[in-house]
Order: sequence, then C-alpha cells, then structure tokens
Amino acid sequence: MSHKFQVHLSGLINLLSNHLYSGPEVFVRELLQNGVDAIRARQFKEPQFTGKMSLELSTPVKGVPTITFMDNGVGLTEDEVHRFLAIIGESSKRAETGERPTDFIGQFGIGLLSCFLVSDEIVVVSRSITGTPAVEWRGKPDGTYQLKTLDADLAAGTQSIGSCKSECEEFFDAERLTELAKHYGGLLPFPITVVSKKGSDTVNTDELPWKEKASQPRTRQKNWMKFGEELFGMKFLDAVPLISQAGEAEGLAFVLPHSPSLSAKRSDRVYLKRMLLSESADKLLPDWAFFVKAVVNANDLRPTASRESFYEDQKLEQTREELGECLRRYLVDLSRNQPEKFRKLLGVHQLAIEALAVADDDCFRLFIEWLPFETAEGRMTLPEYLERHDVVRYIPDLDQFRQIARIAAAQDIGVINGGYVYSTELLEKFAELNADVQVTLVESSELVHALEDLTEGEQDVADDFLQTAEAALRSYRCAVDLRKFQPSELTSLFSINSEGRFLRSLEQSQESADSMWSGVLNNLVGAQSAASSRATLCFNQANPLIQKLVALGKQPTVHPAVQMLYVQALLMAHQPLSSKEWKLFNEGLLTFVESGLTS
Amino acid sequence: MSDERNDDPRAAVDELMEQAYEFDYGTTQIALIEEAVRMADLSGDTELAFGIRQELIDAATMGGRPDLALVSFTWCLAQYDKNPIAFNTHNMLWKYKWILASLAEFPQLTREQIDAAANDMENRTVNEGFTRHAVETMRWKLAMDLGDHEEMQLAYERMRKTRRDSLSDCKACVQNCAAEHYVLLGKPKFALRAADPIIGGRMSCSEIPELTYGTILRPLFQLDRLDDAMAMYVKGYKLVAKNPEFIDTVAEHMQFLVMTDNDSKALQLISKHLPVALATPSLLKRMKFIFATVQAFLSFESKRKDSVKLRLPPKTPFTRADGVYPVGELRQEFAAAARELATAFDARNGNSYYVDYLVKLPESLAHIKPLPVPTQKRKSTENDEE
Repeated sequence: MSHKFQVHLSGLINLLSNHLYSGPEVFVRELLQNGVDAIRARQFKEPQFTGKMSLELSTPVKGVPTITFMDNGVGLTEDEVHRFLAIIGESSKRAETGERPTDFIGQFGIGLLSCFLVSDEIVVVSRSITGTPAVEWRGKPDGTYQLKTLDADLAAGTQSIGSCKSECEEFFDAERLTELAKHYGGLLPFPITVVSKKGSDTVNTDELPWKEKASQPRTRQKNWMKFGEELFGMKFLDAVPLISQAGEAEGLAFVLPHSPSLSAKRSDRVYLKRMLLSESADKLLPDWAFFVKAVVNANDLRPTASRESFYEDQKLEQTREELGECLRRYLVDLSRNQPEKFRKLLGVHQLAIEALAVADDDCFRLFIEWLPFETAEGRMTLPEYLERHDVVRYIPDLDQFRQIARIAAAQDIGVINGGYVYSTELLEKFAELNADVQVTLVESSELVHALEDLTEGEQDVADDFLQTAEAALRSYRCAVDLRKFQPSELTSLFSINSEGRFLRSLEQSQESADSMWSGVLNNLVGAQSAASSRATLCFNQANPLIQKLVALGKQPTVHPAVQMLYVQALLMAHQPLSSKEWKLFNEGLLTFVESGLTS
Repeated sequence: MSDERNDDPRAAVDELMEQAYEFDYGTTQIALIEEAVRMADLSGDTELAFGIRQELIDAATMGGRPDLALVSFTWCLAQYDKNPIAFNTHNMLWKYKWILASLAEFPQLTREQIDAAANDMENRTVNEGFTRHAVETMRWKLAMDLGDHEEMQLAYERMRKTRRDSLSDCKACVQNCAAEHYVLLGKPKFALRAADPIIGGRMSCSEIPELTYGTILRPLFQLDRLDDAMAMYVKGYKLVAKNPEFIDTVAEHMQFLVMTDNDSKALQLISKHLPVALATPSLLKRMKFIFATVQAFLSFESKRKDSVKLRLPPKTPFTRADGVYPVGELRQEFAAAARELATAFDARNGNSYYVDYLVKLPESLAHIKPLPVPTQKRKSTENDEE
C-alpha cells in the first residue's frame, strides 16, 4: 500500500540541509535524539528500565555501506508510524499526561527526515512495548513510503537503517561515526555503542564531569581543568561551576587564558537533556561574561526549530541571570579571599571585570579599588590616586588627555584618562556612589587655568605680545593666554573643548553647504555661540622661543609667527584645518622661507 | 586595550571605528566616531571622510545628538551634490529622512527652513524615482512635533495613499508613529490598536519596541488598564534608561510614575536623567523631560511635601551641596524653564500648543490613580555580603 507525504519532501530536505541544519552530520544527532526520546518514553512507563542505543556500521565488500541505529525504547505501533512518519513535524510523545512539553525534545518524523541527508532510502523497523506486531516502514525522498507488518517476534524498540548515498561515504566510516556519536551523545546517560568491523566501542559514560564527587576540592578542580582542556583544546586559568534552577541547567565555565576581543561572539557548548545542542551558543550567559567559555547541560529550556540553540523566552532570560550570578559570586569570592588569583585574572580580563562593575553596583563597590586607571602620572588605582589628589579629574577624550598629560604631570595636577572603554562610566559611577569625593569631568581648556600665572611684572612686559597675538588669532576664534609651565621645551598648549570642536566641524560643513543648509546651520548655533572663541592657545613663558617673541612685543614678525604656532598646534592636536587655516599655513610658510632667503 | 594610538590617520580611523562598534548607541560611541572623522579628514581621503561621517550620522541620530548628525549630514550632502556618482543615492536619501525629521526639535530653526528642507527632499526622492511615501511620513512626524494636528492628519492621509517603497520607513516605525498619532488626537483605543503588532512582538526595529512601551502608557492609563500599563513601564523603562536618544521616552515613564503616585521612583528618575535632559541638544526632548519634571513637582506640592532630596547636575545655578530642595522653589525654576522653551517652540511653530499643554498640566493631577511599582525580586548578593 502506498501513501503520500503531505509536504513537498524533496523541497523540505533541501531546506533542512541548506538552511535549518549546520551539515549532513546532524543525522547522527537526530538518530540519537529519537533514541533518547523513545527510551525516556519507556522509562516514563517503566521507571527502572535501562536504556541503550547502538550504531552499527556494515561495510560489505560488494554493495553499499549501511548504518543501523537501534534503541530499546518504547517502539511504535502501526498507527503511530502512520501518524509520526507520515505527518512530518508531529511530535511523537507530546500529548501524554503528566509530561511537560519539553520532556521529549525529539520530533520523530523530522529527526528521521534528516537521514535523507546521507541516505536515499530509510527503513524503520519497530515494535511497540504494547505488544502489537512489529512494523516495517520504507521511505523514499520523493515522499512515498510503504508500510507492512512483520511476523517476527522482535524485542521492543526501533531500528533505523540508512544506506550510503553517493558523496556521503565519509559518514559511513567507523572512525567518523564514533567521533560523531561521541560529539553529540558523549554526555547521554544511556550507553551508546558503535559497532563495526573494528569491534565495538562505547562512546560515553553515565557521569557528568561537573557532578563529580571527588572528595578533595583540589582533585575536583584538577579534573575539571583536565575536562576543559580535553573538550576545548586549550589550557584555561580556572574552572567555575555553574548552576541554574530556572532552566535546570548545570555546567562549568572556564576562564579563558587570553583576553577575547569585545566584539567576539561568545560560543559556549550546550547540551539539552544531555544531548549536544550547540557548540557555539551565544545566549546562555550574559554579555559581560565574555571572559569564560562554558559547557552547560540544561534540562528545561526550549530548543529552536533547528535544535541548535535555545528559544529566547523568559526561562532562558532567568537561566542566563542565574548562571551569570554564579560567575559574579566567583569573582566576588576571588577578590575577597584570593587576591593574588584575582589580580592575575584582572591582568587578563580587565575589560570584562570593568564591564561587570559598570553594570552592577555591588560588583562595582568590590572591584573598583582593584582597577587601574591611566593617569597623567602613570597607571594607578583610584585609592592610590586619591592618596595624592583630593579631586578626581578626568578627561573623557584620549586625544585631549594626551595633550595635557605631560603638562599636568609636570605641574603635579592629577588627571585621569577617561578615554578608554569603560573609564568614564566607571568614574561617573564612582561619583554616584561616593558623595564625599569630588569627581569632575574637565576639558583640557579648564586645566589651563591651573597652570602658573605670570607675575605682575612679567604681565606688564607681555601686554604688547598678548595684544598682537590676540589680533593675529581673532578671526580664527582662538583666545590666547600666557602662562609658565613645564616642560619648557613646549612652546604652547592648544586646548579645545567639545563645543569648540563641534563648532569647528560645523564651520567645515558650512564651507561646502548650499545656501539652504548653510542657513540651517547658522540658526542652529545661534549668533551668540558663533561669535565666542572656541579654543585657547596658551603660550609657555618658560619656553625660550616664546620669551623672545614676548620681548619683540609689537614687532611685525610676531603676528605671522603666532599664526604659524597656531597652525602647528592645530595639527599636533589632530584638528583638520579649515580652508582659511590652510591658506594661513601656506602664506606663513612662504613668508618665512622668503625672510630666510633675504636675510 | 591598546595604549598607543596609531600615527597613520587611516589606521587610526580603523582602530577608532573598531572601538566604536563595541559600544551601544550613546555618548562614548559618538565621541569615538567624531574623532575618527577628524582623523579621516586629516588623511585627505574624501571617500573615507564621507563614509565615516555616514557612520557618525547613524550614531548621532541613534545616540541623542541630532545636532551633530545634522552637521555631518550637510557636509555629506554637499559632497554628494558635487559628485553624485561617487556616493550611494539611496543611503543619502535614507539619512535625509532622519535629518529632516529631527529639524523640528530645534526651535532655532524657522518653519520656512523646515518646509524648504522637506521640499528639497521631496524633489530629490521624486527625481530619483522613489515614491513620496518616505517624505510624507517625515512631514507627518514633523507635524506631530510642530503641534500642528491639522497638517498631521493631512500628512497621515497623504502617506497612506502613497505606495511604500525601499525608501519608506520600516513598518514597525510607521506603526509606532500611528500609535503616537492617535495618542496626540486623544484616541486611546485607536492608539492601542495601532501599537498592537508591536506589543505582540510581531514588529520591531532598532528603536521599536523601545519607543512604543512609552507611547502607550498614556492610552492604557486613560482606559484604566493600569496593570497593563505598569507591565509596559517595567518592561520599557530599562530599555530606554541608558541612551540619551530616548530621554523623551524616559519622560513618558516618569509621567506615568507621577500619575500612579510613585513619587519616590519619579524622584529617582529625575536625579538620574536630568543631567542628560539638560545637556541634550534636542530642545524638544529637553522640554518634554522638563514638562514631566514640573508635573512631578506639582504633584509633590499638592501632597504638601515641603522638600525633596535629589541630585541635580553640579553646574545648574540652583544646585545645592546637601541635595535638599524646597519643592516650591524647584517647581518654579523648572516651570520657568519649561515656559521659556514652550514659548520659543510655539513662536516658531506658529501656534500655542506647548504653552497650552504646560498651562493644563496642573489639571492632570486630578486624575492620579495610585498603583505601586512592583518590587523587583532580584537575587542580589547584598544580604550575604554583610
């Protein structure tokens, strides 16, 4: 008797192999999955029942190699075969009373379908524990199948037989098959045996590595580390047990020996009911946990249709939170009880720890005293910084910090670089939680005011120079100042705040904009802020060249010299020049070349 | 983390952009891309400078700096007009939408300027063979911000009669605006119906549902669906709390807290978000936040609360070191600031929409419906840390 599938099968297989699944090798996973489901269904009725599965590879000298997968599970009646194999997608065991929907993750029909990835014909022989006659089902990828009952008195269970399709020979190889069975089923609680000409090989043990009951914590830790190294092929810094009630998840997180890129996707190895689900799960741990690689088994999470990751729902969210909590506790515990180890970890994973501190107040309080910041006087922690300075000043911009750091350090002014990934956020949080410490964001221009003023006598002498300099830079909206600071080889310090930079870029846009947009930009800044100066060039009275210029006062050479120093300062501060400034630069250069030639 | 910045401007651009992508939308990301733009300019490579500015337009638009997006955009548009073949037209017009829609947020700009920009975009889209769907959507959004309900309804109709194309806003965005449209018209049931596909999780995009959870607080509240509204607050507030771009949505959540008698929560929000609200270049969003702040203080006053403790940004003229403020004084300060902004907007918009709103704010307090915010059952380690 011939029946018809109710879907376009070849299209579906194409879909499966190209889109849904990662590769043909998933047929092993799907077979194991069907076996696990069948055994669990049987155990539901016979709690003491011991399940087992086998994969038998037959490679006849003549003829096509076949794989026979066997389980001693609940088996199928003729009726069930029609239902589950004819209507793809119907789950075999869902409706049973008392079972949660996630008890049987397999969808027998769909699972079996994946065998068409490696085989042109599939034969299923099954006998139900209800004692009904055994049945044989033969399916073809064109969507037809045949079903007959068998007289033979078979033991309950199911066999699925596939024969090698051309270009799938690699999977009909004992070594590869063992490897795949171990890969997907290595943590399954029922023994899986791979049988071939080479003999028979059980690929798994009943024990879960993180459940190990070794009496000595040290031994346990050592075994965990060994397990991690074998599993992931890398030596980790530490192993941390993970546990979550929500998804009934348990496992181990291994602390990576190197600092991963912030944008690297996390890839954890996750099992669902002890069957490998994915080697590159990215949703099971919180984002900040990028310093570990985890292996986790979950019993109560929902897999996606491809069964290669978890479905994003509330349970997953809660699981993620609880697993994150394990890591958080680990770090907290380490920082309190094993400071040396924590310091070592910090050396490699500072970013991760900072990310966690930023996101979590409790962690922040614990970790902040450990975290080094870049200051004008070198790397130090906040407590170290606060021993030297009363006020926490930080510049949120790396470039501005670079400009000012040397000068600030030479004058004993404390400044922290807030330009690194989490620095500013950490400092702002520090301010939020420590009302007694003053934390201020400073622009480099504000720090200029902290530099040493001239004496009244020096001020009088410098008046002419300052007036000339001011006139030379007025149309560039740059204010001038004259102070004394170290190191004396610096002629000047150019400082521009964020508003000034914004206005510079606005002018840059205005240079090329049409009249409509130019008008819009004009209105945007408003008359007032457009007229005010947006940068300061602070000359260094301690510098010999500046001393000469100051002495020249109102002499005609001062004007172009100041302008050239201005352009130089702009370039050193990485400010792109406007067309006006380029012109200044070119003209100034020519003037100086000419005066050099004529003198 | 790398300590040395590369001296080659192109390499520095790469490095900065790589860092920038690590961040969510917001201030830090913008600062990094701004610097990358300067480096790209220094490299003298116009195409690179154009490309990085396009990134800056994205980051600034999504991160609460519409002024910076505008400045970057005008530069790009000028380059594009100089050499249209060198740059992608669709991209340019796509960003044009964002910029156009943001113009109403600046009261400094005249209505003529806004209309001229809309017409300019319309000409460009039509010339390039696109339908007017995108530009009419933007006119619709602009009319909402301009407090012009008549034009808002007209633009909505025009948009709905126009065929969508690849330049159109995504369906989730349009749907969210439709919800807002009906909120503004005082039709809560219509608003909820419009929001339904978003709340049901069937539509989303980079800013949706973040915005929508805030939008539907008011209609849910009006229809006495307080529990549902509270669920939206719980879900939605944390999604918008970090990005300055969403400061007006934060204001909607704050209003909801005031209207449900959650005063201490509302105070927390004021302390937390006021610095951002006072710094945002979008004066429209700033005003909306200040409106909500005024509403909170009015509510405290009506309950005879004399003083409140909160953390104001360090640089406002009335900031006090001890953080304790007489409620009446604060209410006056903020009401004055609100009125100043509302007057500026109304003058530009040619109506009295925002001042009217401000005047009617005290009336809203008659409709407070208390419902406490559920306490979060976070499994904190705070306890075992003692």
